[in-house]
Amino acid sequence: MIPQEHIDALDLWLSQNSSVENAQQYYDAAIAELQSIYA
Amino acid sequence: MLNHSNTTSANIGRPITTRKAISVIGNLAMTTNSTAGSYSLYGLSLISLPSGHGLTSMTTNLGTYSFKATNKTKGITEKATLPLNVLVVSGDLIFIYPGSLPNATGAFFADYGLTNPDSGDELVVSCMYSIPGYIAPTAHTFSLTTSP
Repeated sequence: MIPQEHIDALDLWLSQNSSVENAQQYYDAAIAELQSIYA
Repeated sequence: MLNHSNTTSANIGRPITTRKAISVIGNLAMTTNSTAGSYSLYGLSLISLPSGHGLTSMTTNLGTYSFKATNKTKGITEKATLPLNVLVVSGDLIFIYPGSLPNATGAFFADYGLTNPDSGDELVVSCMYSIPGYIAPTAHTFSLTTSP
């Protein structure tokens, strides 16, 4: 399970960069990578 | 409630051709949180490095973040240098953060050697980060107002 502080950090970045092109894709890729690490 | 603004200044430092460029994607996301009156300061930035960077997720002390924090309400300006850590690497995309992650220990102002603000204080935080072997990125300036 991904530590909550990792998700909080990525949520913070996404919330303040929602207007960045492909921001959601970058977020999703990071979550997927973390899931593979903590699987 | 958090008031937040974010500006990026011109590139600082003279590029050295033997070093590779850091591409910054979006802005360094930064905020403060209060736990029983003790404020923490944390952020996350997304950068892109040329292929072959060799970095891996969860790398610590990759470089440094240099902070200048001005508490305009208290009339205090202080500086701090924090380790630059890697949260996660996805191909050429790298999420990096200064010091500690949100809600983790060690991210309080006092941990960084900075004066703890009070609720409602207006802060202006400027920071730069450096990674050995790469061209110095842009400086970021943030305005934050602490909330309870």
